[in-house]
Amino acid sequence: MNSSNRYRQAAGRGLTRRGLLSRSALAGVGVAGAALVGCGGDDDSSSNKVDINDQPTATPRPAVAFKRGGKHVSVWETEPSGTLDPHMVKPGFVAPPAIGVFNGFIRQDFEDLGKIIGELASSWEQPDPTTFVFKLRSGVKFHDGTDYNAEIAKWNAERITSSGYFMEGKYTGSAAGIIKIETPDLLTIKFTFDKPKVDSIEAFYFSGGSGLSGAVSRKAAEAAGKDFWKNPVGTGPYKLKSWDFGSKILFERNPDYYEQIKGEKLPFVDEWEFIALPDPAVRVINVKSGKVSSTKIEPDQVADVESSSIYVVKGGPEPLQIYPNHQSGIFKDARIRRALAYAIDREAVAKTVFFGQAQPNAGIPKRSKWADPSYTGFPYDPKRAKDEMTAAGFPNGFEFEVMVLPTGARTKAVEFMQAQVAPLGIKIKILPMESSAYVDRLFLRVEGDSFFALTGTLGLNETGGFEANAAPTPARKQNPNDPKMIAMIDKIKSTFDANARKPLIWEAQKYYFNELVALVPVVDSFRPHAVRAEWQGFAMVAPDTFYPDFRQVRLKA
Amino acid sequence: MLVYIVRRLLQALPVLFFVSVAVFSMVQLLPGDPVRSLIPVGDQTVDPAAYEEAVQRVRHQYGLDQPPPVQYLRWLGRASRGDLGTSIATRQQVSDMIRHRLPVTITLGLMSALISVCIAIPAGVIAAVNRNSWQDVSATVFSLTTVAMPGFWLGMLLILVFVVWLGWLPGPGSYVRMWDDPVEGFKLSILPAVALSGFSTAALMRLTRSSMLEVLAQDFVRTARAKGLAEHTVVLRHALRNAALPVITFMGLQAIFVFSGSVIIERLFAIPGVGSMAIDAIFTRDFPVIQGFVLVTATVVVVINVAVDIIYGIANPLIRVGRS
Repeated sequence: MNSSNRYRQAAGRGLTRRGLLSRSALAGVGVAGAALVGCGGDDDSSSNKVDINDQPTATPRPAVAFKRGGKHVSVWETEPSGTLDPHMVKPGFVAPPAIGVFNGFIRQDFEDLGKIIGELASSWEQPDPTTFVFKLRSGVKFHDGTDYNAEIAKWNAERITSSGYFMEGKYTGSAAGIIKIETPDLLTIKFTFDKPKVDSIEAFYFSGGSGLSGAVSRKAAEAAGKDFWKNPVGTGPYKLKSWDFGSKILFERNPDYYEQIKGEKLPFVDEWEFIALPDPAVRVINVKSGKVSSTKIEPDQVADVESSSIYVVKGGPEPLQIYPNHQSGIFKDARIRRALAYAIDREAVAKTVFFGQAQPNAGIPKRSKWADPSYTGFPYDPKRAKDEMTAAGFPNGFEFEVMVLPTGARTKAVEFMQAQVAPLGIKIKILPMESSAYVDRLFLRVEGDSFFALTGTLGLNETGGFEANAAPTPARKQNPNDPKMIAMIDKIKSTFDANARKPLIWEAQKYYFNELVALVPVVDSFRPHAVRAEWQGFAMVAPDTFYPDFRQVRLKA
Repeated sequence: MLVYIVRRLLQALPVLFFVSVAVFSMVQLLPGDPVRSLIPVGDQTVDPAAYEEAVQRVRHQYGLDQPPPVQYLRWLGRASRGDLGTSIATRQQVSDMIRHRLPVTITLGLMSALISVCIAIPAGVIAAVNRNSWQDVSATVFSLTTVAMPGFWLGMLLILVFVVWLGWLPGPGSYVRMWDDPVEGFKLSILPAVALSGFSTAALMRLTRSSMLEVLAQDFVRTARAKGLAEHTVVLRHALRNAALPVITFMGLQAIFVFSGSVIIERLFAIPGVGSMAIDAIFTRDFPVIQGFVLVTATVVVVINVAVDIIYGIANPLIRVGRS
């Protein structure tokens, strides 16, 4: 039974917040443990403990005959990661190679967002609202032969939160507020937060370069000092073999890796190589020729690439939305934001600009446990757009500027929308701009009307994910400052019963998009990856799903 | 001659100083705050004071909280000792990154220069000697076509023809340095070198042709022919030597084409040189790397041009005598 099924089962029995909390009290107050029950607990009866032995794995199992060995060559768009120290990765620069070398306590499932899978933690629990206890796997060793245990886990957590590490979560991330790290025994580590938070569990997710849980070898890190980034030693399925900086990076199988699937030890391939191929056309040439096994491709290349020898795996989706300036200019008026939202034909954008490799954006993705099956987003309705414009005092149209990164499909999408909304009298002025420039202009100086960009995927975390764009933050000052939305988010964040939280998230989603129009939804674009037909087990990394996970990649027999 | 060389080297120092000021100022004037891009975006529950504290701490860590003149002097002091700082994106030492990658770009540049010289000078001479003949017309068509063709497009065509269709050469993505494996390294470098040399080959050919035409019309060439010298002696020993002066100057400028062209060509062919490093750094707002790249490439260009000036003086003694 997967976690969603468990969740639905719990909901079907009318598990109320109070009821759940009272039952959870047997093991301490439940709090986000309720979420953990929904995310992978072995039953829903009384415990908020999660045991990995009962958990289905995140990514595809070996379904057809396969053989061990071989070398999988994959492609990185630029240099294969600037650093292989998972605690040094710049935010936004999640390093796929690091996912192969390191493990965390837990990770999110891709197929079933919200389900948590144990990595170095065999089980975990939340005995009280501010405490997380992780039981660690025994017998796990680093690539250098040293043991992984609670003392090392604690050293890692302290390394991450110490000054100079980019993933330093103590100020701003989900790890903000960790006040104590204890190790009752060599296989137990306990984290104490300063206050209860629904989303504290997210501090322990690992996706290559975020959270508190990427485990590096203390011995190797101390020996290498500042050079650890190029001499990484973790517990993951692959060990670094060689690294030609800027060109390619070669990993070999870790024969002592602990993870198994149906009794089969991971990983399956002997070697895994990352090569840098920045040019999309060159990437296609290489995958067609068989020189590379898998590569990210562009949406317009899918039709050209798909064949009997190559199949396509969709990564993402990545929401592309228009960020309006809620603090000044034309978009201060919600009716204008709504008019724009009704004026965009998302289906046409998805089909024409993204060659079908996109879908109309409708809030929380359906694969998330927080998805509202009845929510359909904004319809394309020019008449309602006109009505909203009239109500706002602009019956004949309005003009606004959109800043956009002058690359790829984003500019094309804005140009397409520009033509699409023009008959309604809406004039879009396109301002091509480098990303830091428009972030500086709109987010920090609150100038300009809007920009079109990739936004954070909703439904990935325990709160639904609205907070980043729903209220002004120190880094996004143009966000709406709407008391009702802030109250909704506060309510979500203080509701520890996942069952009770779900309708709140649904309600917030409707308000966030259809009333407040915090963002103007456009499309969810996919990141297609071309994979040679002789390979199977190609999956994407949770939770952001932008990058492939090569743990289970294997040759067909 | 020694005085001339010393004087040329001293003249290069203010140029390097102004380059360093320009590089530093340029990066300072770019919009955007690299520090804020390092700090994970907080939500509304984050204490703004804590966020600002994190921003200020990282700013201090990189010395970005100092006034620009202080930052400049510190940067210049470190740069003069070979310390170009630490990459914000990768945490690597910028000097290490450049040291590792610069030889790749220089090798590529030398190959492209060699290709340019080997094709352009003979073709330019032949076109000039056979003015208005089919050779001249062919050379003109070739040079105009090549000049009009962007390097990345020429590179794509070369990949299509020699890698995909003919399969004669390995495709991009498995770069091997020439000094690690000369044969494989040569095979992998030849197409990018040709693509990189396209513009300069065409321009050098046109320059050689026009320079040769001018020299061939001069009295001393007529005198040489009147003395009964063989035509190849007149052309190669007398005319070409005199026509070479602007050509040498152009070859010095070619260093600029190499570095600017390498930004595109290295990305296309997945070559781990400083060009691809620079473009990645620009996209990630990695100021120390951008500064390091521009400073080092500007220095290399200045040094090459000083060397060209010195060669110029050797080739034409009148220049150094006249100036001294």
